Amino acid sequence: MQTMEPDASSPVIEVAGLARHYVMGDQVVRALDGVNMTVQQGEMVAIMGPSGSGKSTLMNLLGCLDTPTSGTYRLNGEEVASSSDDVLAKVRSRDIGFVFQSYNLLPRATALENVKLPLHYGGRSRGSSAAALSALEKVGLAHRAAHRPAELSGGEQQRVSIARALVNQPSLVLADEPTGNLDSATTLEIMAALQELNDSDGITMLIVTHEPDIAGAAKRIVSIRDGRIVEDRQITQSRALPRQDEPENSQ
Amino acid sequence: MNPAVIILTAFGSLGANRLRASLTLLGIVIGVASVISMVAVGRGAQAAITSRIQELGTNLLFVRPGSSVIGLFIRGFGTAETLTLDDALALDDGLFAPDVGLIAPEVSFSGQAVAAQTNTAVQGLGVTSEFIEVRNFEIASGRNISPADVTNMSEVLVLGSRIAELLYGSRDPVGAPLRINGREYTVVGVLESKGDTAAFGSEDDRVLAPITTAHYRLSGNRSASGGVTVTNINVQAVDEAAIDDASRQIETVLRLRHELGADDESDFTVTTQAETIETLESTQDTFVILLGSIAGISLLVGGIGIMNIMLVSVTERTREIGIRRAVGAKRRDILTQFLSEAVLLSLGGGLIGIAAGMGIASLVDGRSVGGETLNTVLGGDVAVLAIGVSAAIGLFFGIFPAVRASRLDPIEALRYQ
Repeated sequence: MQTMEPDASSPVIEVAGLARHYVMGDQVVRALDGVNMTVQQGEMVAIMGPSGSGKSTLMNLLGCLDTPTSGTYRLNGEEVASSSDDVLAKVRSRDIGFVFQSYNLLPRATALENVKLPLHYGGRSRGSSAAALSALEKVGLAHRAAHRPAELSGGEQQRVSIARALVNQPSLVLADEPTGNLDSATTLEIMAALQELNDSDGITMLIVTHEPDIAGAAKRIVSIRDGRIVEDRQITQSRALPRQDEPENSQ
Repeated sequence: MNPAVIILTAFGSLGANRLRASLTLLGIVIGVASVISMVAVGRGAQAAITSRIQELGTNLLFVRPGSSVIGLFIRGFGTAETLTLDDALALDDGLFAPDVGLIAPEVSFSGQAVAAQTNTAVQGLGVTSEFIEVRNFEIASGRNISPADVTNMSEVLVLGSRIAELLYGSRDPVGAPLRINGREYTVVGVLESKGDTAAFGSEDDRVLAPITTAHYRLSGNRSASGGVTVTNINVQAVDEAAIDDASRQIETVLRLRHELGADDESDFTVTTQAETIETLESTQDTFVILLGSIAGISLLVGGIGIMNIMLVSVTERTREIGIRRAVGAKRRDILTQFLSEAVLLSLGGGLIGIAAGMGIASLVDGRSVGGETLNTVLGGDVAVLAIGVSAAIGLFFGIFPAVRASRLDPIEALRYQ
């Protein structure tokens, strides 16, 4: 799979002075308060922070599910901060893949149908089955294509949702606590899959997590607190997950 | 999203909750089925009446006296005493009224009839011998009123089949005596049954007497001139094409006889059979529309059922909406999806309802309910209308839930448990 790169020179994410304020009663909550960040193509960034730090707000903004109160957001060089709802929907279907903590698969649809969903909304219904199947293959679940989510294990469901995130060949995959609902063995398996996609396919990946272990799998860690970035460091040598020497424990 | 995917998705969503979908469907089915069957019954009644009137012959004209005015009160047509038996006879005029065929004047009367054991109120007509032919009656037994009866003011009666049965049971009433308003008459004939015509009351309940007898003995009418005043003159035009000419000729002859000036209004009215049918049909149309509207209310209730279920469905599927939005669905896509589900429900209900309505209509066709035979007439226009209306109901009642679904904030929707 080739990553789509409309403008090779521009970074995937370019955010400046990004702020998101909520009005609650007569109080203004500054969930995000002036964030500057640039993510280049092929990076794997972990976003860390305690709950309430604003990392979910940042993910929603980067995922074009929400628009900022102020600031700019260029995605592949295209300004999307003040785009209309329809344009944002188009951007989501073209450029972004989501992986959620709770998988968010349609319960009545099979794995294959779930993976096909973004293609329908992207106007690519033709040949969608083949594309979806190849995405499932990539996460090693082609043989489970006809199963419904209820018939799949948690790890398998998350892999289906990764396949769904990939099927549109997005320039950015956003994973929000992707292993939050999984046991540690499955966590390693999922992280390995994400790392593999980043390494071999060069897919830009943002992972929100509060587990240092998970963050350790990334190449860069951005820490957020009270709506601001407090630390942004590159990891020269990202830890290889899984650590094969340790015995697997299933809790 | 392409239409096939939208429809498949809608089927899938409805199929996930079959019981609920079928119950919602049922609301529309009942609504549409009742509209279809009600209108079929109404139109059946209309057709029956029309055909019964047409049996009388479409070349028939009626001449009735104008309305009488007493002070400020204008009484109904036929209440004035401006038409006489001589007027009727004058219409038999080969020169001025060549298109007039048979003429049958009548005088209406009512009274209490007493046979041996039974007595009953009767509506009667004083007629001449032509009446039977003009109004398509047949004599079942005995004889018709003869011209001699009219001249001699004979005290004879011809009975309608039902009144004969009521008064004499299975006995043949010919030759039997019958007292009306205290005076004794002899029954000389019985008419063949014509069945019911709801519009005029039953023709079989009529009692016929010679027109002179009816006027002087039975009706209690007295005219200033001493002549016989009539309540209606049935006129047969020579053929159907001549009906308008006949109408004009009658007008001319009577205006001359009544010595009316060019500016005077006629003191009588001439109506054709076609006009009578038209009037009746327009009354019946109102009746059919009324029936249809009452049935339409249940269709409305069905529509509200759809709205209700769609609202529940939107709430239940909030998370699904969030997922779809996250992977790139536009608001319009969500709107289309929920709207297509609502329309699919109502349209499906409409189709099943049409089948059910036609089934009901053909089931009751020819059955008798409370002594009345039901006739049903199915029309393609009602079916098309029902389909259109049910689709419109789906759109109308589906739009609010669908808009609600499309307005959901994707972040909130994804978080919804």
